[in-house]
Amino acid sequence: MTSTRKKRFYIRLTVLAALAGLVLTAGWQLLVEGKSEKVENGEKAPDFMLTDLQTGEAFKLSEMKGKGVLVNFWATYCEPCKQEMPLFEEASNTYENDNVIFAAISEDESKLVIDRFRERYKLSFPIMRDNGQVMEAYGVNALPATFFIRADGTVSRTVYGPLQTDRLEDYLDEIVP
Amino acid sequence: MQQCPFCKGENNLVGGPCPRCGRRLTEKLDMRYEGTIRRSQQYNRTLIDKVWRFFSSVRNGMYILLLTLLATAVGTILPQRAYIPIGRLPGEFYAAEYGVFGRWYHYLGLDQLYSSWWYMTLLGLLGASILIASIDRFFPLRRALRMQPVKRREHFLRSQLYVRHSVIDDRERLMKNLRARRYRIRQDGDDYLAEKNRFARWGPYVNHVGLLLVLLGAFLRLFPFFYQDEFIWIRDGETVVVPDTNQSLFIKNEQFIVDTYDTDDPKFKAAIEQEGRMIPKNFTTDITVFEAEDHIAGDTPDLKPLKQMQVAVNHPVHAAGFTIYQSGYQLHEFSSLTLRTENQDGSTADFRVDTENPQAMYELDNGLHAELIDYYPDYRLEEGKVITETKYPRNPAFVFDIEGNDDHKERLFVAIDDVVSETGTNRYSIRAVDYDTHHVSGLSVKRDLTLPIFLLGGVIFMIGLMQGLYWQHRRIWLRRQADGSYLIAGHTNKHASSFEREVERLLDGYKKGGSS
Repeated sequence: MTSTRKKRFYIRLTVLAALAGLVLTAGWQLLVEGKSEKVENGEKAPDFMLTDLQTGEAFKLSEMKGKGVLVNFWATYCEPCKQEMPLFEEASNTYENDNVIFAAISEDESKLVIDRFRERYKLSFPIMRDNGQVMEAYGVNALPATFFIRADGTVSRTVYGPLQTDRLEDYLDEIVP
Repeated sequence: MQQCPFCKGENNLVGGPCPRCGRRLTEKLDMRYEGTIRRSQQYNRTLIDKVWRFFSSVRNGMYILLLTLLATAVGTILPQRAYIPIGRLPGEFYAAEYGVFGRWYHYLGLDQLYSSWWYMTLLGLLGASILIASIDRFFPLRRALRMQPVKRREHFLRSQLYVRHSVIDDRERLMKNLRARRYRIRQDGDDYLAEKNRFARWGPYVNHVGLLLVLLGAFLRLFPFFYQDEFIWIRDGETVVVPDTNQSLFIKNEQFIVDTYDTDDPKFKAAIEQEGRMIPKNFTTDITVFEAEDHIAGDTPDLKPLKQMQVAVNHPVHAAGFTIYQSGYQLHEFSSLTLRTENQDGSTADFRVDTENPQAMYELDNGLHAELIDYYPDYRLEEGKVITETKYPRNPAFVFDIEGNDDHKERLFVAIDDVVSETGTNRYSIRAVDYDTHHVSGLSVKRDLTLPIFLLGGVIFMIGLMQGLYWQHRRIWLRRQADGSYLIAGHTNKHASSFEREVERLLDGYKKGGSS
C-alpha cells in the first residue's frame, strides 16, 4: 500500500469504528434506559417506610434485615391482585416461621376501602397504603407487581403482572434466610 | 484520473481512446466531481474499503432512507406503548383494542419501535451513509477545484456544454466586464480562467452537516441527562414526587384556576350555547417546587422550597433544571359529599363524607347512626355488581348501614343521583344533597437539552440548502489558439441556459465595444 492508501485506510477505519461505537452506545443506552426505572434482580431493593394499617406501626424495609420480604403492589380495584390475596394469606402463615414477611402495598386512596377488603378476606399480614412514592421508587406502572427480597436487602426476583400461583412457593423458598 | 463512461474503468481519457475498451470519449464530460473518480471507486481491497464503498453509494443511502421512512410510518399505525392508558398492561391492551393485528404489533415490538435497537441501527446506518458519502465526495472535489489549472487541454474544453470561438483583441476590456459580473480571474500566459460562486458547490455538504447534527440530537435524547419527560397529576393542595428524580424533586399544587369564556359577552354567547358547556379560556396552576434530600419513599418528605411560581398553558416555567408545562386538567373531582338522612319521624340530619379518605362511623343529630360499609370511589355496574373503576373519586358511591335507637338496621346504597335500599325496607332514607369538588392539574415536567442541537442542525441544513440552490458555480475558460483567436468554454453546475445567456451577453457586449 502506498502511504496515501495507508492513511486513507486508517481514516476509514477510524470513521467506521466511531460510527459503530455510536450505534453500540445507543443500543446499550436503550437496554439500560428501560432498566434504570425498574428494580432489577440482584439490585438493592429501594427502602420505604409506610404505616401498617392494622397495627398502626411504621413498617420500614431496611429494618427487616435478616428476614426475607415479599413486597406486593396491589389495589382493591385490580381484579388479578384480589385473586392473589388469599394465596398470600395462606403462604404468609406457612412462611412465618421461616422468617419471611409479607408486605402488601395498596395503591388505594382511602384507608376504609383497604380495611374493609382486609376484613372481608381475613388478611393478617402487614398491609399499607402508598402515597404513590413507593410505587415510583420501584418503577411499577401496572398492578400487580411482586418483589421477592432476600434477607440482605437485595432483590431475588421480580414479577410484573399476575404471579404464576404454582411458582409462589419456589420463589418464597429462594428468600428464606 | 477520469472514468471511462463505457467500461467504467479508471483511465486517463483526455483526448485519446480508452486503453481498456478502445472507445473514444465523444460525449460531454461528466463534471459532477470535476470529472474525477469518486475516491471509494479507486480501490477496493480490504473489508474496510468494501464497507466504505457500500456507505459511500447514494443508491444504498436511498435504500436506507426508504427503509427508515417505512419503519417510521409503521410506528404510527397504532399508538406507541408510551401513550396507552396508564395502568393498562401492554400485552392485554393491544390484544383487547386491536385484535389479532394488535397482538402481533405488540409481539413484534412495534409498540416500542422508535426505541428499538433495529430502528436505532437504521438511524445509525443513515448517519453513516450521509457522513461517508460526503467524505468520499467532498475531499476529492475540494482538491480538484483548488488545484485546477488555468490552462486546460483542448479536449477538456471542447467537451464542455458551452463552447464558442471568438477573436478577442482587447482582452483587458473583456476581463473588466467579467469582473463587473463578479467573476474572479486568473491568468496563465495568454489563457484565462474566470470563476464565480465556487462556494455553491459546498451546499450539499453543509446541508449534510445539518442532517448529522439532527441525528446527533436524536442520539443524545437517549441519555436522561439530555432528555427526560415526566407527567404528573396533582390535586389542589396536594404534593407529589416527580418520577425518575431519585425522589428528590416534589411539586405542590397550591391552586388550580380555570378561566372560562364569559357567557354574557355577546361575542362568545352563541358559540357557548352551541357547545352547551363552559369553554375554558385558560388554565393556570400555582405551584411550589420542593427539593428533598435522602428521602425514604413513603415517608413524609423533608421539603425545602426551591421556587414558587405560576404555570399556565403556553407559559412554561423553569425550575431545578426542568421545564414545567401546564398540559392537562380534570375538573370537579369530588372532595366530599353531603348526605341527608331522615328518620321515621321525618326529622333530618346532614353529614359530610370525605370522598378521599372517608371515616367509618357517623353519629347524627336525629338519633341515627350510619356506618360506612363499603365505598366505591368511581363506581360502575358490571354484570349486576357494583365495582370501582379507579381509585379516584370521580363518581363516588357508598353502602351505609343506618341504625336507629330501636335496633332496626337498614342497608342503603347511595350514589350522587341514586339510592337503593338493599334490605328492602324504607324506614330511613338517605340522599346526596350537596357536594364539594376540587380540580386536578396535569403537569408535564421535561428536560430537553437537545433542542438547541436540533435548532442548530435545522439552521445549518437551511444554509446548506440555500447555498446550493440560489447560487451556481460558473467558470469560463479562454484558451488562445494557434491562430490567435480564442476558444471559449464555459461550465456551470446548474441552470445552463441562464449561464449561456450571461456569457452571450458578455461576449455581445464586448463586441459592441461597450461594457456589458
